[in-house]
Amino acid sequence: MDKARRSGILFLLPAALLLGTFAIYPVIQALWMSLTDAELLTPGFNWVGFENFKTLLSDPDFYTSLKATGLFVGGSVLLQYLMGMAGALVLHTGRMRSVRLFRSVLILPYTLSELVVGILWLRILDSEFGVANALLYCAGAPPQRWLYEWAMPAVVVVNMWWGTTFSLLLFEASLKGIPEEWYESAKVDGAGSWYQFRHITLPALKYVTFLDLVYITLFTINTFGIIFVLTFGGPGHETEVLGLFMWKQAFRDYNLGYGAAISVVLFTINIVLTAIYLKLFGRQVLVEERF
Amino acid sequence: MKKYGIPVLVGLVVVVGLVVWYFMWGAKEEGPVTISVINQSRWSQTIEQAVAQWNEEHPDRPVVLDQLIIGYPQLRNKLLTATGAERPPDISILDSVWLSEFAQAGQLAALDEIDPEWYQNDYQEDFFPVFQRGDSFGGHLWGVRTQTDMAVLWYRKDWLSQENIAPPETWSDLIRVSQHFQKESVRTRYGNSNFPLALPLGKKARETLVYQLLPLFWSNGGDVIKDGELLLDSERNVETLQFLKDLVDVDGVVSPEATVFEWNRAMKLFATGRAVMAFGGTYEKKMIQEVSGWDDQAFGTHTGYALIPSGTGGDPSTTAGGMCYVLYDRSPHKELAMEILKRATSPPIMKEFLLETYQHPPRISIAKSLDETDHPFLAETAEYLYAAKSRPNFPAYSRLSDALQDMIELTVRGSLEPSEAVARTVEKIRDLMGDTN
Amino acid sequence: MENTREDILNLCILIPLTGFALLPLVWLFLISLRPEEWLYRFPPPLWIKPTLKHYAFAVTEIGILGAVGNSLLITVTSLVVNLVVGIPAAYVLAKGQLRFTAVIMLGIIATQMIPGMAALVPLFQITKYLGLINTRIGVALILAARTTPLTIWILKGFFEKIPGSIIEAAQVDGLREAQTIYKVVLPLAWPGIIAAGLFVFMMTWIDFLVPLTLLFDPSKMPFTVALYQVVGDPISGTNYGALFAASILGSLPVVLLFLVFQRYFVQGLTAGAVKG
Repeated sequence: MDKARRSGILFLLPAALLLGTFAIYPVIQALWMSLTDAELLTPGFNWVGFENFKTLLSDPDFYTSLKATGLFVGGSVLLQYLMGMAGALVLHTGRMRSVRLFRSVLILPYTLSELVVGILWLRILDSEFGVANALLYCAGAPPQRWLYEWAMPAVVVVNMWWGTTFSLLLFEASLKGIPEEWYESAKVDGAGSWYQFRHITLPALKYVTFLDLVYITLFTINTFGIIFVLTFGGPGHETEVLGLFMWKQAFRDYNLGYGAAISVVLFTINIVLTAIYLKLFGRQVLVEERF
Repeated sequence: MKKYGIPVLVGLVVVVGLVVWYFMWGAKEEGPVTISVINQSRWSQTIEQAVAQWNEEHPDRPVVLDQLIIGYPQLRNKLLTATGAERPPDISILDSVWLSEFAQAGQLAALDEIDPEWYQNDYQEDFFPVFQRGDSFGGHLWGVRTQTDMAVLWYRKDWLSQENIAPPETWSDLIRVSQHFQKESVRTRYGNSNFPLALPLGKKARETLVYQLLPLFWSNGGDVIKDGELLLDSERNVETLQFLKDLVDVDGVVSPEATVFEWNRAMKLFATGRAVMAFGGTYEKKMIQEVSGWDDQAFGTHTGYALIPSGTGGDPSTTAGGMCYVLYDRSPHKELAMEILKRATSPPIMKEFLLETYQHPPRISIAKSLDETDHPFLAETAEYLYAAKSRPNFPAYSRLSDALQDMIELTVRGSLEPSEAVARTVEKIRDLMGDTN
Repeated sequence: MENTREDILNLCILIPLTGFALLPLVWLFLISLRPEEWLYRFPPPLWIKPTLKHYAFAVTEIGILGAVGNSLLITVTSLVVNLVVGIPAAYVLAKGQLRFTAVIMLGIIATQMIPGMAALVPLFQITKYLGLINTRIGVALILAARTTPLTIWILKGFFEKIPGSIIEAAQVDGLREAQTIYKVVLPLAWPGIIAAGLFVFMMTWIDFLVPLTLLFDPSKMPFTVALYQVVGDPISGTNYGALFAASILGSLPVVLLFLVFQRYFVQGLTAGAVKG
């Protein structure tokens, strides 16, 4: 026990060092800053206790933002999970030699930076000059004002286009780890594909599914580069997710303290969501007594 | 001890590797005095030329230029984090509306104090008063305007003259002319869309929204802040908001999508012939030519421009915008940086820059030297500078601008009544003014 | 016959999926090849005589090649740090013998729960304190800290799949912990390592907030920041052609990397090593 313990701690040390310095410290700083009225340009600050939080909870824009975030994250997680899983299954079971080609194409969207993705789709969905409307025009359908009338669906779809690669690769790599024999013996017992999927594949992927859902949720809540470019939170505040709301407060209006308060709220939401996922998947996803 | 062998070895390798890397890649090169500049690409040549000129004149005190080029959307962020971390550049470009913000935070160096001789004999004599006022705050000068541009109403001169219509000067003109171009017969003749007037009406256009639409408020006799006094609370401003809303809802000459136009969408519509008239900056000339393919002559035949039309309460007017070069208080090379700045904004270098980019001169001497035949566009629009105003000189300008943008977008979208919108914004601005006092 | 039916079903899903992924990229490519005037025609024409001037611009004006070099430096460093830090940690956590494993796993992922933007200002301060401002090392370390949690979680998942019997056998044979990892665990879990490595590579490659904030030297900027030079100039607007050409050039290394490592993805675990 002692030997294992010692090597255990030694092995964890570099990770603790790295994460402690560059990941945990900012979290603590943000927590602390949310209790002040720090501003970006002017040095010095005052303690204001929970003032920022009180203002936040009485700000109607905050609630619009919550709703927008809910829609955006819900839609993204759902779509990306489904698409990723479907794509991974197909790529994994595909017998054609062209699978390699398909896989290469499917990861391409993620190799672009958020900025470029946003700008590309801005041009595609352009209501006057964009390809999307050109296609509709050729098909005889009326042109749509994509970013005006369909703002939320548009950003969810673009986010999905960009981010599905993550789920896709994650699931495919994990699928490869499921022993063939399990499927063989199931087939021998007369099980159909759907049964195999439900009773072999899904359970085997429990850990990875948890990881995937948590990660997509965290990523989507914390990044807003695509929304920034496509709609900047508009029309009105329809697509102003919490991340964007925070950016506007901290970097445009200089309210570092208020912005930090928003990130604390985000942090809390993330913890709650993770807890919900944990409840759904059970504690074993965190620890498995092995050897 | 043996069992710790490999982890320790690995750890050592990592540490050594990091140290080596740090020294190879992380060390900054030292040399003769390095002046660091944060700039935008179009302006970069003026600094480069200024440094070259200095090095020619003073070979004994050479300057090495370290110029970081970033795009406008990231400019403010970058400068904020740089100053926040106490690593400001020696010189940077700054939007003129941000001057008072940075100045009040103590980040900028007062130019009149660094070189009083230049300030009195060159600057005060040769720069248009509107810029001297706009770039000063609290009794000091904080930036030197590098160029200026104005918000104007662009229109299709050829189409209007063919229809025997005079360019609009008042709001009712604007509506009348637009509605004329909505007629079926006229539309088939010119191919414009059903929304002949294009202008931004929402927050996606960000600062440009305020830049383009403030003249409408001014030309109706209203204002936001003048000489420290809050003037937003006025019937005139409510009228202006109502006018904007009616353009979409009642007169139907502006597309409802205007509330999500990005900053230059209106001008793109104009350049491609969808819109007959559009609100845009004078800097749009180059873009129009690029998109339409018109040479200078064709450009002169097809397009016309006018001051923003007036409401019933005032005269046509325009906003004068522009970027400034600024120096930072924490810089260790303020005097040297000042020398570079003086050269970068000297008449010869400035004139070359302006002509290349079709921008207007902040210097009276350059404006006078513009030849009508050689540079008709610049010469003509230079007149407007006399009717130009600047946006409010206010430390919390970005929040002010945000409040105004909200006011306009929410009114046009119908979320707020014009009087309500004005009242709310007045409250917000009053808070801001209280904060900064 | 069942095979063919399955194949057809697969294709039915694969083709629309791939098409959806591919078409916008094709458009990206087309725009990078056409002069600006054609951006504003409606309907946009499908075929224009291509021009390479945007690519030339990307190389000469934006200096995309140098920027890609910086990206490589930062990403590879980050990758190395990730693996060196993550493999031991994942191993220990996978063994599950530590009492606080669950807490540690949660703690690791909790570091991801703050939006990247919020962390910028404190990160700036601590990097300044360590003297790592304006260094690519600093950027690499921060990005490594951002991606290590994912690495640890992924690797733990793969390490857990290795049956206890193999590990025990190795220890009985007298191998020390570190050797166990090197000789036994890594060869068996390498699809996971490749997967984690690819993720780290991609995520570090496309990040632009951290380098934008921490770097001041134009010569050190990775390509994601270099791209910013042509975005949203208030006078001339965004130079779409150059932007897209530059981003295609910048994405090439990642794509090439993936093409090379795809094969390892496909191979999966060695049959026979995992039984019962």
